[in-house]
Amino acid sequence: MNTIHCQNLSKSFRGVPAVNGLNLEIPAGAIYGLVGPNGAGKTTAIKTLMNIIQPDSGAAHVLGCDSRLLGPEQFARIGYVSENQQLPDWMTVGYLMQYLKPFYPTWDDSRADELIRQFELPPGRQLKHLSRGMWMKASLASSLAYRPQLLVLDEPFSGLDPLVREDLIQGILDSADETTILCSSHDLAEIETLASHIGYMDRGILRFSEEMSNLTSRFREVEVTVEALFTMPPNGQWPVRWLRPEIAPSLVRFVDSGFDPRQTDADIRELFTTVSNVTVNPMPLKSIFVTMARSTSKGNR
Amino acid sequence: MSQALHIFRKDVRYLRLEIAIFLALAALFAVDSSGQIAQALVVILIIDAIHLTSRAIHAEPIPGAGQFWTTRPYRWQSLLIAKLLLIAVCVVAPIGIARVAKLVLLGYPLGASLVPLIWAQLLLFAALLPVAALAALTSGIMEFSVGMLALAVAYLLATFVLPFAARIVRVWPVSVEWLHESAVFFLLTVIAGIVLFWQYRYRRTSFSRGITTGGVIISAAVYLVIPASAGLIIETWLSHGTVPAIEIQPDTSRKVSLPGRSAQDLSSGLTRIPLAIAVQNLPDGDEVAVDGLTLSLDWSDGRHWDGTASVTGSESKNGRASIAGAIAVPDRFYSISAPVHIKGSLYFTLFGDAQSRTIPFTNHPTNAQDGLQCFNGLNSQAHTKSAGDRGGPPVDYTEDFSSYFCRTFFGWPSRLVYAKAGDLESGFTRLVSYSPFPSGLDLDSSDARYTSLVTARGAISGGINEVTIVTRKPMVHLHRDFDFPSVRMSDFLIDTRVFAMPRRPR
Repeated sequence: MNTIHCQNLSKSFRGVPAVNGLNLEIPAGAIYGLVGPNGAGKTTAIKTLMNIIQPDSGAAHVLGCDSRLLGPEQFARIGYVSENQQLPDWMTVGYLMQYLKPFYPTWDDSRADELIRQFELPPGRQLKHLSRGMWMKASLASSLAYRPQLLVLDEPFSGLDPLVREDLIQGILDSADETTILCSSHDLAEIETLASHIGYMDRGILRFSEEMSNLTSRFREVEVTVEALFTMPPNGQWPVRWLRPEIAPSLVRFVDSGFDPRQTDADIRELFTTVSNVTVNPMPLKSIFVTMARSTSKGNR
Repeated sequence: MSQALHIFRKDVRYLRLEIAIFLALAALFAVDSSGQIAQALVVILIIDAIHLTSRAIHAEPIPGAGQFWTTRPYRWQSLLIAKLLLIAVCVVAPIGIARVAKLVLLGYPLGASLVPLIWAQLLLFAALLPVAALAALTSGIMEFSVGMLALAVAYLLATFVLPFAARIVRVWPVSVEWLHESAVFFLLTVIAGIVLFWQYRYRRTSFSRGITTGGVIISAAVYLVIPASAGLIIETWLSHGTVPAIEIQPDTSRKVSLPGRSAQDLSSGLTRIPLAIAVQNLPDGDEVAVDGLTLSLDWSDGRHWDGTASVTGSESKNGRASIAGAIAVPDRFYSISAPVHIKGSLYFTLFGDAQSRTIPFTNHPTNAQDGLQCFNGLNSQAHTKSAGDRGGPPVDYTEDFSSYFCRTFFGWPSRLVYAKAGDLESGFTRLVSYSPFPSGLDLDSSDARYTSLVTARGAISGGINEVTIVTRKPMVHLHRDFDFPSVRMSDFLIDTRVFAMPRRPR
């Protein structure tokens, strides 16, 4: 059962496509990290899913409901936190929680108190007098206190110091058992610690979307030491899944985006006749995305 | 409804300072009725009401993609009701309470004032809907202020600049002006209702702005383009009274002096020629008030002229009304002895069903019928006296004289009003609106008028003990066409020998 399901979702602004044929499936219970560079279309995709803006074409279903028809019933089960959101700044933290409570049938007072304690939020202070980190914590607390089925976070860590990020991640993870989470970010380190699934968007297109374990297992940095002088083979002989090749006289380095120990070894033996050593290293998410981003931009050029 | 109340309570808390200021202003409005301060207070109250309304709407702005409430389980109906409730409770109700206090302080009867009071409150609420709609199209006070400014400029253009530039000044008679104003008010209120619904239901700001712009243009067109004659026709059409078999004849028994020429006449090369017509077979006791008189003049030598006559006087007695008027024609058409074929249209109203109430003649306002409160008071009139033989500049001075006043709280009633003392009857101004509504939109629609009753009766010092206030209500609005095949303007003049073709001033 998918909590979010998109088909060919597109949205343009003045003829410039922000989201282009997005196909996305987020299974229930997943923590989905939507990553990509600035301007990739992540925020537009999320706003379309949240019925904040209307798609030009395609369809999306959120919690089984057409995103264009999302209303109070669905929003009572959705938490949405965005760096761009305008909270009623005149409210104190305590009044914000008190005000929101009647909107949510599943509001949990003890959870709300726990979140305020956990985030060390001052209940009597107005939101406008909170630091950016505290403001974001208040926003998150007000979206977790009713134990939403879906939590949508749009760039929640942007501009926050590491301690606040850690607190936010802890708060999000504490809710992960009962909540499907969609979190957009260009902060890969945080997403790596959070996400069970990952999608990469660039220029409005979802380049890939898969489970985090699959992604990290299929990307490897490979270094091949050769005895004889190596030159780049002609087109067609270099495997397409080998990205970002770097060639020195006796060393060839590349990223294998479809790592399979046997296949990779066979391909290396076929292409490099005098292999003296092969080193295969797992890659952090950041390196994977740098590779993806560079390969994509090179491909587009 | 509980969600609406919840949001309403939040807004009251949010706007408590603004609400407190508005309540203080409303309290001042209730107790103060002193001339210019009261007028300034009304302006401040209106501005504050607009401000409070926009602030309430902007607590949950509609346009924009970063609004907090759009991803919370708000029901649009609850949000809209909460905002309307705040306008009703924190803006309209305080004004209502202030009006009640004012009524009590001024000694008006509350029971008789209830219907106009409720109507005035409803109108005030409706008038704030366009303000709320504009606020719903904007995301903050700056955008809203720019929108208000744009509307103000559009209003000034439509009311003053364009009509003069395009020479399409549409001066509507006071009697039917209510139709003109009601049409525009109704249009704007309906558009506001549509915009509010559309914005709160669908949040389609671009579309709503398109509707608003279209609506404002249509309203301006209605205001500018529709001629006064349309108002007269509609008023007649709406009238349901019994229509008597009325005859219209030239009234050669009535002699008038040659009408004067206004500065505008002089600059336009126009001369006014007189006309008197008689309306016969009126029901006994009914009085005629002319709403419009259009004439088409054809001379035997082929000259032709169409125009609207101004009515200079009318008298009703024994089932017959005599109406004196004048029509401006070009100087070259001036010919008072040549026979002319006159075709005309007369729009008029029969006033009847006289009601009277006798009240003591005092300096203290006393309640009469139809919301009138009458008293003997001092009237001031400014004069300028030339220095005469002494030389030097002219001297300004004010003359105070006793007059008999009637005042109302919710605007002058659609009645002809007379004050009668003994055998002397004196009417208040005949400029009355035929509006069927019990009150108008003005925050302060109080009106005071006076008659020369006391001045005329002044010779009998202390001779008046009581005054009878007589009112006649409009019974039926009529339109009659008439055709006088051959009349001479000289037939209506006091003495034609003394009049020659007036010279144009050098």
